Amino acid sequence: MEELEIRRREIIRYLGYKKADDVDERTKGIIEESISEIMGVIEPRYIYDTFPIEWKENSLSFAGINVTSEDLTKNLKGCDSVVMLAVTIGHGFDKLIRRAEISDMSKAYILQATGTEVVEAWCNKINSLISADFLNKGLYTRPRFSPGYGDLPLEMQRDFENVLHMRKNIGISLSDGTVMSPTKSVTAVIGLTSTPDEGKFGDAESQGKSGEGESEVSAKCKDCRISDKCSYSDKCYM
Amino acid sequence: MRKDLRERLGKEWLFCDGGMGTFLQERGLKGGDLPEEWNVTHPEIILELNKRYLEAGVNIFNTNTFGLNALKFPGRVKELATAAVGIAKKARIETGREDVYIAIDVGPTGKLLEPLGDLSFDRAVELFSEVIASGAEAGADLVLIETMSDSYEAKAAVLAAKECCDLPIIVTTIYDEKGKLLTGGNVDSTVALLEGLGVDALGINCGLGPDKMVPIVKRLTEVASLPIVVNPNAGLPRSENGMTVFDVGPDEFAESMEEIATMGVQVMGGCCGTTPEHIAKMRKKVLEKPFIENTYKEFTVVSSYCNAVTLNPVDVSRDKPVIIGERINPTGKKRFKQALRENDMDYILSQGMEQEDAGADILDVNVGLPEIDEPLLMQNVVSSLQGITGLPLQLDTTNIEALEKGLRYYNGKAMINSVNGKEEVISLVMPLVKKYGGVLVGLALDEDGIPGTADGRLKIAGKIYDAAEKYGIPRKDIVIDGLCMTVSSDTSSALSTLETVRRVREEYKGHTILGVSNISFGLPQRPLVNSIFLTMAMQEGLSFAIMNPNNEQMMAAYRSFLALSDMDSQCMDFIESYANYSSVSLVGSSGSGEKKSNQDITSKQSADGVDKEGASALRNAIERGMPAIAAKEMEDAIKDTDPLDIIDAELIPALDKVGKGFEKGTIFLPQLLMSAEAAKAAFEVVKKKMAGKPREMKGRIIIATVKGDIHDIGKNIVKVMLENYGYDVIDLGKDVPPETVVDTAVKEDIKLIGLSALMTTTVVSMEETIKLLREKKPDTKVVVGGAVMTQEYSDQIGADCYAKDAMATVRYADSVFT
Repeated sequence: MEELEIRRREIIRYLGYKKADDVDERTKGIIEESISEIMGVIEPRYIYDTFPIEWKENSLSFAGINVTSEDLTKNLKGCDSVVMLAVTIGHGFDKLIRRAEISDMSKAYILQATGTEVVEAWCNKINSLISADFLNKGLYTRPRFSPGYGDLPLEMQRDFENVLHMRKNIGISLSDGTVMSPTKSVTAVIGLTSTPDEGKFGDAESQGKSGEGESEVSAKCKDCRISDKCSYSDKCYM
Repeated sequence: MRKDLRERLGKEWLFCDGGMGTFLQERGLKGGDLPEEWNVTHPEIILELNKRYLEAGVNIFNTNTFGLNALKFPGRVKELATAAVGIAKKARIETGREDVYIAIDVGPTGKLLEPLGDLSFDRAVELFSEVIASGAEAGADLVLIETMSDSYEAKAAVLAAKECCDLPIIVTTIYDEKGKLLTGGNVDSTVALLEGLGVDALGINCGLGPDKMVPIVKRLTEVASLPIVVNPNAGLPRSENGMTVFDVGPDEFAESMEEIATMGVQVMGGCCGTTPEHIAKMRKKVLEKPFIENTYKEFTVVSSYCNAVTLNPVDVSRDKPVIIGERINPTGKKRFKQALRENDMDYILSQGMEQEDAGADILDVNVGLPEIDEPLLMQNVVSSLQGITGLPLQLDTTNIEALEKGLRYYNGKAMINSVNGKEEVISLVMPLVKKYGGVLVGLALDEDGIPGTADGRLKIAGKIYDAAEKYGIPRKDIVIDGLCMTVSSDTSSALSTLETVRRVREEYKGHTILGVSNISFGLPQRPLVNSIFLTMAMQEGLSFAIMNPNNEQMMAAYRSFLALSDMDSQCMDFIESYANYSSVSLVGSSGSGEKKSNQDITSKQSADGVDKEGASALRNAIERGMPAIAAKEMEDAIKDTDPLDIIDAELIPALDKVGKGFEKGTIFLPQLLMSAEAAKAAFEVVKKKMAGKPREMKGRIIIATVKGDIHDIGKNIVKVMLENYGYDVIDLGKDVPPETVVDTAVKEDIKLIGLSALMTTTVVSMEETIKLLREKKPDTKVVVGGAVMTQEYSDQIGADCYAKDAMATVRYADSVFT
């Protein structure tokens, strides 16, 4: 498996630490152990397809999906087409968690945080490949936007299944409540535009890079309903 | 007109049809449309498709029912299945191909089965039964179960077919390039499962083009005894202008299939991307190749959802004996009995995992206690175990219903312990093993008891082999237990057993099994005797040993034997196990000889606490999150002090200190959890000592992740914390409907419920649960939590408290129960 850029900083943040210095050596050791255990069982897969966007008066649609989410509309403003992407790291990870939960909850918790970063890293990698691919065709990618972000409903996962046939192609199933299995799976919409956006959204490569130190509650966060619990304000692209 | 398919299958070339997606897309089927609808909206197009394949020369063709099930077509399954078969029959008549077989095509439901997903096994069987029964009724000639990516779902479909009709069954599964199913199965494990279930042919379809299937087909020919079916895609799919196209054309396909035809397969066709032209050209080339029948394989195979444990026939080679871990068994184990009574699944599972880590190849599962519901417990334990381990299981029970439950819900081909020479037992056990498949252990005893001599036991073995033949269980699936009676009451008993083992191998060419520890009952230093007896038995050719893999002496004997018998290549395993080992004591100090975890027991670490009193070392161990040391310190402490006093004086204060640190933000969740694990380990010591005498609980609390949500790690963390603080937690699990929560609260008179939700969409379920609770049991309090939960939501839905983390939940529980 090609090298994945696993950011320890992100894992530490998912674990609830505010600063890297707060992490004790033992936890650091378990994080490294978890990374290697997970890398030993992952089966990374992805699938994506590209669709033209039909812009209407107050809404947009693509691949037969009508989008009413204001936040996604904002993210896609100025785009002519979109990529719909689904990635997963497979069922092996979920088995690790189930086993750990039986006898070692702290390990399970650390595995959980590590797994979240591993799938993000895999998603970043594919996102970069997609961005590079489209750059060759003169198109720029917007930061990816997933069901559950802002006001984009989780029900959109069903559209991903209908359009990408995730189940058949890469083995992602949806429960009745639209939860994906394997649990470490990500679906996303990536807007494509022919004009590079300066500064407003940043490029795909910078997605996920966080600044050092404390995160501040910025202007865009003050209206967000979970801003008091959120540690991602510096990478939120709302 | 049409010969019974079973008479032709595997005896001559038979051809299946190919893909239909492209054909339908060209005629207007859009992405998102369901092709099965066309059985009533565009029957003429389906008829055309069927006819084209019949004209191409197939012998078996599919009804347009691949995705037909009640989830996608509620209330319309029978209608559409009947229509599809009707069209197929018409196609047969109109092309003059009355010799062709109509297969009711059964594809996956689209949902994952529990525990990975939320579809229950029973519901899956129901869904498949509906379409299969309708198809059979309408006149289909066989059932074709295909594109199965999960062995469990395949099993559900096969059982549905067997239970609702008598038609021949073909099952093809979809493997990835590495030869694995989506949910982990490989060729060996899948073949074991399907052959055990008694299907008529099996193989591979979809996912790959013919060339990439070659290694998988090769493995199929090496392990399968049934006719082999190969239905590849026309290469890999590509997206071109919104359409899916496949790159391998008819000629290339035919050439690749011609190669595969020389490998020893019996049925060939195509899948996605193939057309009637692909099939016709393939058929022409393949018919030129000599037909090769598949050979019967004599391997003895037990399998889990992902692994097969395989033994060669005894006259082909002597294989490494298989270790069956014996610890999941209440006999003589107070702690285990308590766990069974309390439905303490975690304890049972941890016993399984410990044995796996110690080197067990198979796990024995015995949950027989008079006062519990054994069939239900067997079902639950089997389902839970196969969610966390890939080791095959041995279902160990004398309760027929428990055996049936275990066999039905087992994801693989199980080992069954046991049958014996008694007519009654044979008549109850063997039909079950025939239906579900399995390797059956036969005890060499009958109505007259246990024969004292090897001769007597061999006679019964013969009886068991004969009965198996009568019931249709293959000889290779019978393993004889030579019976170990203790030498302390009959000094010749070991010799009789060993002779039995040797002669079953020599005279019946059969595999053998022994429950080794029985030989030493009543003697001192049992592990000493057991380990030597094990060695002697392995020398006589023992195939399976039921033993405790956590026991150092037994494993030392085992590994030494392998190294000495040329069963450990370059003695690698032995060297790895013992290179850095401190000497194995042959005179054990504890009867069970349990392996101590090597975590944290270094002199450096215990030195940190040793200069203080023992009790403080305990507190230290908890604060630092050292489970093994905490357990050891607790063991020492309870020798002369009442456990409850220690819990109050040392354990709880230690936990509290860590808890406060967490609330302050100087200690973080991983450390909190490590301390909780250390406390849990200390409590486990107390539990063991006080097994049978329940600890007084501060209160009972229900926790659950609400309906629609399957995230539960947060809830599980809360559970660990609450238990540590003295609460009895009833964990209802995840995706729990409001009724279940409320009914349990009413039934058990619970005063506090904790609900968890991690998705915005499932807060609604929380609200419903609370509403229902207020109606039915208004005196119960509700605390809510989860990543998506906030104080406002909590107020909105009428909860009594919003707990932002596990400690807050503990504090609230304390306030409710004082």
